[in-house]
Amino acid sequence: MLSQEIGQEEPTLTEVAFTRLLTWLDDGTDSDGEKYLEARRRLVSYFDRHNRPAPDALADDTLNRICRTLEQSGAIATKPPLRYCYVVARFVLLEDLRRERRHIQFDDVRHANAVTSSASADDDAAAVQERRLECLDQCLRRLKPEQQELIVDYYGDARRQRIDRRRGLAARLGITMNALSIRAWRIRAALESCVGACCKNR
Amino acid sequence: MNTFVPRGLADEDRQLIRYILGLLPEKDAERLDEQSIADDEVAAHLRAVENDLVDAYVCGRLEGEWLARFESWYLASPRRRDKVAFARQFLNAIDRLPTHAATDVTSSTSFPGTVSRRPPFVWLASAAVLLLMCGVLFLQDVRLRRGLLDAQHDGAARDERGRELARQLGEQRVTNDALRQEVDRLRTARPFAVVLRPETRAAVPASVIAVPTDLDVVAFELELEANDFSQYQVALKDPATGRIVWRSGVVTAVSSRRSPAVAVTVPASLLRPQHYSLELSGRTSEAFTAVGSYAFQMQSR
Repeated sequence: MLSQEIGQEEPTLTEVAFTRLLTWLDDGTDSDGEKYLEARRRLVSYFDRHNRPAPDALADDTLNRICRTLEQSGAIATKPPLRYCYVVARFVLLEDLRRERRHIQFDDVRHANAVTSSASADDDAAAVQERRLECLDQCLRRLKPEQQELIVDYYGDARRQRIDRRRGLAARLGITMNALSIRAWRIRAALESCVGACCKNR
Repeated sequence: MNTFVPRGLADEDRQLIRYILGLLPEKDAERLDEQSIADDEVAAHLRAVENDLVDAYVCGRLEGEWLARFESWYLASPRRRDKVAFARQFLNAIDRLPTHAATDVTSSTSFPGTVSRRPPFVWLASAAVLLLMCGVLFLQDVRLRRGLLDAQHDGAARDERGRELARQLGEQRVTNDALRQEVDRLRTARPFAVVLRPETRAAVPASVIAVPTDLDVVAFELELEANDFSQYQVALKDPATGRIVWRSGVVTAVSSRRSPAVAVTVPASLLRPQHYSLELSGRTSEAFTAVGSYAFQMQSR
């Protein structure tokens, strides 16, 4: 976040400004940076749902702008902080759309099933696939047994309706379906990011 | 095989799917745009619905308008294509994992009144399986006891402790992606372990700790008087200001030593020459409850 640039923005932030952002997002609690990570995740998804080509950079731009506002005015009255994040993100999105219209896009064809016919590309894709599978196995092995059980029960056998199985699982754990879905999502998201990091490190 | 169709879903889920697929009118989409960022409940629900939608696509359970829209709209983003690729591998891997035997809730929490509803052969078969399992468990127990005695003689318990610490580090790495990179660094760092006992009413001076300058992490082992909780969390507190300097992930107690203990590793860079306390809390079904406080004093590095 401290070094990425988008458009005309000046992203250089001091550590103090970043800490202030974390404190503002925490809104009186101590989340140990978790609120920041969650806010960023939601912003990236928001920009991605609007099919922006660089959702990560736009999310960082949004948070950078909030950092600067905090630095200049000392406080932001809008509560909760994530509502203000949305307001800023909306402006960032509109600016990005305007910027896109100003530039003719020559390579805007992004097709879901784009297939490269060259043999080397196929080999590369197979190697990437293989690496990802190895990483997934490795990451799965690091899960606690109860986490493994939970995701098997929650996501397993996806070809059938899962709803009854999930109700049973929530009842067994003594939690609501909502809490269960959050728990399952956290494990899945952790696995996804573990696989991403593992593939990068190989 | 069930098809993932609109009629089988709650209104809210259908609405979220239409939002994910870009099928909502602008006004409704804007409302969900805001809620997906500012409302924790909607954000969590949206993620769950999106995962289910992706899984349904991967399993070939999407049909009609949703399938067409998924392929033309959802898969237009590289990030979302990655999500689909991950789902494909994830579901395959999940199906390879052993199924949890206790998935059947009615059997694990059956009440006396439900017993007679089961056919007798089920009970006979269950009894036979139970008997067999008891035998296997008994043999395992004997073998484990023998192994434990051997381990106590040759000092292998220390190795077990080391493995347990490494395992906990590995678990924290997966359960908290925010701390992933930090834990990576911790795993390669040279360990330095400190055993602390809970504060008592007696005026006992705080343990003084001198950490070598080249260490990245300090491993603390907090001894427990009783292991009353299945999960714990540890916070490093500056008693002068009351500020929480660092907080661990959720950890479990280790009972391979003489008394049970909770082990955590704290980045050494956080520790300055001053007094600190490690506040241990145990997890109940809803919240964390204070268990004990472990005071110590850092010396100059």
